[in-house]
Amino acid sequence: MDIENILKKYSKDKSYLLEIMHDAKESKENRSLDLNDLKVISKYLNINLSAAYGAATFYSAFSLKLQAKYIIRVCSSTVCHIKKSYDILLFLKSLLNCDDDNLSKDGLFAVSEVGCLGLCDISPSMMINNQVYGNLDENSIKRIVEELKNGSNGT
Amino acid sequence: MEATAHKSLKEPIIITTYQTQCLEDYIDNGGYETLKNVLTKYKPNEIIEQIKASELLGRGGAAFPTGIKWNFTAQIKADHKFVICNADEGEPGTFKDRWILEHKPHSLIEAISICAYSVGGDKGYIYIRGEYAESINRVRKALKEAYDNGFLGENILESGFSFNIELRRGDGSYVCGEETALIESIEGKRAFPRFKPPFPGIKGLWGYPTVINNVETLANIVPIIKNGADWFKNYGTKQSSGTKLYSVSGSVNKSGVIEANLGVTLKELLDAAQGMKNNKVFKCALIGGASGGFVYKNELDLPLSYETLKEAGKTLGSGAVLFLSEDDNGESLLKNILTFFKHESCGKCVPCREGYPKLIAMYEAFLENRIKAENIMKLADVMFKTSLCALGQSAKMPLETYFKS
Repeated sequence: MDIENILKKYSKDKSYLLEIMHDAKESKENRSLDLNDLKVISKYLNINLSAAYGAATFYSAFSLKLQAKYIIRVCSSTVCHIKKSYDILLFLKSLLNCDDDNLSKDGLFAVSEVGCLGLCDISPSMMINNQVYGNLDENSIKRIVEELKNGSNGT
Repeated sequence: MEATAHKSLKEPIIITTYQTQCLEDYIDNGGYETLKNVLTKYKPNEIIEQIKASELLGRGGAAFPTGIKWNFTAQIKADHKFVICNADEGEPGTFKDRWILEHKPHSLIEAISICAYSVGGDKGYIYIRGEYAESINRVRKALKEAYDNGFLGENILESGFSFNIELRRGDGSYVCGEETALIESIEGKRAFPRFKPPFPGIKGLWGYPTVINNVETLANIVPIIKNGADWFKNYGTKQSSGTKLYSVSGSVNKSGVIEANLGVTLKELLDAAQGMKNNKVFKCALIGGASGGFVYKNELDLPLSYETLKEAGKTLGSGAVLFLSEDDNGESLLKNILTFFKHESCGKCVPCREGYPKLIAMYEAFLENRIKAENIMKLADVMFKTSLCALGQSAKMPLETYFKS
């Protein structure tokens, strides 16, 4: 769905800003927003571009930088930290040949370290887009990545 | 609490129900009957009196009396009033609200509607963190079911009362859990906390009186109205009535949400979690999430209620309990906590924004024996006294309780 069609779902209520940005992000192959999206959204909601830009850069779910089809969020907070989430992060980055911007060499994955995902009962945990993965170890990570590369799971 | 359907709770119970209660099942178990009774048989102030009498304390972490909060808003005359369910559960180590959102979404809708009727609210919002994708799906589905069957919308259950609830998604911002930051976020802004007072109960969303309650707090409302305040006070301690959902995790055999009476001891929770993993020795527990405090071996029998922990200079907070064994590295955990707060600081107020980087540098110097703990505590104390919201105040407790070990 393009941005114009997304806007049709919403009234011009300012409180829809984040909802619209969520939908816009989900609709993109690389899951990132660009300045043009923000211009269209801010015009529609009758807010300053700076306000939309402020929100898009404040919430770490949104990014104006180059992203990827699969955004991997590795939980790094207290419980996962105790369960060695840092090792998971390093393993993922090396498995995917990530560059300095944490993008995988094949451009399919963007890896980031995030605050608590509320998955402490299945720690160490991560999310790939909206899908949850827990009780991670090197083997399960390899398997998950392989499945995604083969296109068997896209959500 | 019947959020978990245990009607008489004697021992802590680890929750193993993983099926979402659909509308049909909810109604079969008496769901929305309380709302019907409330709308047809009670006056708004009678409901508020019952919640007050139950002495229910807010379960989000601040433990403010819910009935008093509702009363603030009910007293004010305004063109609009709002009710917000704070489902931005971001406190590290806490996952009990996720369980309620995913498994009992209708109990929240019913409670929010009852709250709205009691305070005169005309619109509600459920603000869920975007990371809780499954919660969002299930709440969205429940909202649709409620609308389709006349439990939300115009003239609910032919009572003349009309009320709407909308869902809003956050994502990737810890500070949104702070009530005024959450309100700013719903207004489509960066989540900067506001100065208080005025409190949201007086001046909240779009400047109108707004009740904002945590998910677990709301999950207690229907059982209280249904069974009465005295029933509720059978559970828990004198000053902390009811049961609590403890998020138990770490180096234990069975992590999970454990429902127990307020005042349960750490030892009892550890038993419910089937003991330490690999028979390791218990070292300490971090209670209340990243902004909570450490509790040690000599405090295993300390009742985990709001008043007892406060007396011990700690906090129950969100009810997160992270068990650490002798092999877990507390030193690096503390650094992890400080780094988390630094990352999540919204940048609005100086003590928090500038304090955390400095605090981390000082902590590193402390680990190298270059400065004393009391130097760090001086800064943490200044941040506690001068920060705009709880985020800047949060470092003090974990640091203080860690150094006292």
